[in-house]
Amino acid sequence: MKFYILTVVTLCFIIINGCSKEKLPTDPIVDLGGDRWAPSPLDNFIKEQFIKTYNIEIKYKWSPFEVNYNRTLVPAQESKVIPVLRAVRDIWMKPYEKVGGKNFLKLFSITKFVLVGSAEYNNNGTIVLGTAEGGTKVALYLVNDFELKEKPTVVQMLHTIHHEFAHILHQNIHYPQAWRGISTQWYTQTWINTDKKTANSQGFVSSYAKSAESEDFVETISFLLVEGQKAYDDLIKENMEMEKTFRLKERIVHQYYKDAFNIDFKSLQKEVQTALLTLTKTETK
Amino acid sequence: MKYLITTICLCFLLLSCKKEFEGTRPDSKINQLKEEYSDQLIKSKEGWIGILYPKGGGSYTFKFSFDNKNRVKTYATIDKEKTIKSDESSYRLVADQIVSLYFDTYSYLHQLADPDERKNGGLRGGGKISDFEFSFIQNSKDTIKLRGNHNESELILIRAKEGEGDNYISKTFAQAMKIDELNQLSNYYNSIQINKKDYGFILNTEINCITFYYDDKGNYKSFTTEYAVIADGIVLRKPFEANGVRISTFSDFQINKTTNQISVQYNGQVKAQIKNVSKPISIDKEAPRRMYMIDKMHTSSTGFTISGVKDAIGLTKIQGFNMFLFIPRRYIDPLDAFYLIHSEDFHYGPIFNTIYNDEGVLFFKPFQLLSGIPPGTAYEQLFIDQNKLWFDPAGFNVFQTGKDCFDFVSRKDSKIWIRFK
Repeated sequence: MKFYILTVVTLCFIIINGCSKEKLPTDPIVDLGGDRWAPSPLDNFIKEQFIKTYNIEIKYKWSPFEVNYNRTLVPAQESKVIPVLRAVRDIWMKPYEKVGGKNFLKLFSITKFVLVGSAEYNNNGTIVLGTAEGGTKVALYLVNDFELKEKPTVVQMLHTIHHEFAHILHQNIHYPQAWRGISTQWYTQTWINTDKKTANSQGFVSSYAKSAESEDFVETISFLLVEGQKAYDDLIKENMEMEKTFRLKERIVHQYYKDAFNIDFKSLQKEVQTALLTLTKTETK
Repeated sequence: MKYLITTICLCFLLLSCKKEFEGTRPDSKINQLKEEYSDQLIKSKEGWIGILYPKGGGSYTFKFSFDNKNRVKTYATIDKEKTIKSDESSYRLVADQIVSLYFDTYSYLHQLADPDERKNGGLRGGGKISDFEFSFIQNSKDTIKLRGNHNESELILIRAKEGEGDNYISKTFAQAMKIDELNQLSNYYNSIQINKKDYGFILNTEINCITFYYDDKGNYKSFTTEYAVIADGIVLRKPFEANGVRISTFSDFQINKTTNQISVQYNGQVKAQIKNVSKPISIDKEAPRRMYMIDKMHTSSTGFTISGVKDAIGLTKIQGFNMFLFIPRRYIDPLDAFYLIHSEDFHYGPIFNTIYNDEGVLFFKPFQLLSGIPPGTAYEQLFIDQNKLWFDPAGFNVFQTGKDCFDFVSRKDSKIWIRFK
């Protein structure tokens, strides 16, 4: 009994004394709240246009742990950041806001855009142009080759953005069951062995659409929005034997936008096309 | 007994609690270091001269001026334009495992690390295997040694002195051009006497490597190191121990291409004469074998040099010229190829067998004199002229000038040679 009393007393002594003498360090924790640097006009643009308005962080400065550390990548060129962000704002965000309502984008928790200068090179010879993670973070690659004056680079970048955002949409509300089974027989890991023409003849808008069911879904959305309805119709004309598949996919996309987000896809498509034309035309002049 | 053990344990517990943390906390140390390094970078009035040795080989000289707003102004010897026109980008100090300097937006430095091979002539997906985020490894008042976090390239920052301002890099570039005149003398072979001993030496200005070679009781011995070009000469990355003399710099290059008279100073004080000669001091008998067995396509940007004239045949002037490519074991058998790559990726050139013997002689036995897609019939004669040199039965001596880089020198005429990297 004596022993137990002694043990309890000693333990109490340790606990009470251990707590009383603690002093918290006064040194600031390194980089608490993120890296800091003297803000430049570019930082102010981001603050006004993206942080205050949408609470979206734009990481354009190199941060190795935001990207694939095993690959060779380079940071974005400062002069390319505003043109890319203007395209993001005008050709992706504004059309969605116009058609889906001012608060539409705020319904989704996109918190971060990471801009990377180069593409990410895979060992199999393909390159990565964009990634979406956990429905919150989007990484855009090849920023340094972006040129507002050159429509193909704008189309490529916007295709990536709409592709990644479509991922975020279906990561929030899954695409319809009806999508399953349309092209299941063609999905393959070795999609890189299929050229675009063959992929089209199998009912896909691109070779990459063959990589997985979800990729097929977002590639179709991205194609319809960025390349436009005419390009989609032309694609069908060239591949008449797959007309039924293409039209079915188009219908499901329309229905998905209507049912899940109350968005008229046709109007969205028009808005994206108009914005694309306006932005590239203004810059070309 | 049980009580005793428990009591001892409790005593230990009591004792262990008494020790309070004393000294500087890691956070404080890191913050202090960041501030110190930042101050050091910003407070150099004329900025810093940066010598970069990318992991992928070669060296580049930079001039950096850091300010207190996270901005850095850069000049570089990558090409002529970058020596005159500065580029402004941003930098920051980051507390990684070791305090690191990030050049965090794209600038001249990043061009070398760009995975897009079209931006720097490096590897697809890897570029020149370089870095732009560096850890502080060693630090003194005037010199900072950094190591790349991604590829372990080496960056040495040297405090610029008065007079080493914005035009420092253009002076350095001019110096590099001047040094390259050593490759424009009539013979391939150069020799220098150091402490009464003759050394052959090769300066590969394409990859910034210097090779010394000499005869050691009938055997070929050599020493190769990278060098950095500075405004008044070159600094060797590793010093060369020559007959009891440790050489780390060469400066004051005096090169007269007409008379072939050359002099130079080593270690900033000893003057030495360089002789341009028609015979090598020693021959590397193993070099052809080494060159052939490496799993690599050997590239040349200039083709054959004759009497100091680069691309003497004129093949690089072909529209759409890309490079020369010597491909050992291009086909099974084995058949090798020496192609001119033009119009993106078309090729044209001979296919042959490569032969080398124990005397270090390399020569080629033709199989098909010209194959592939010709760049135009007007150039046919140029390819025939090149074949005459390539298939010379006297063959070539081979010298290694850097990691996996080789020069072929005609055995018949030391004025004819070709450099592969």
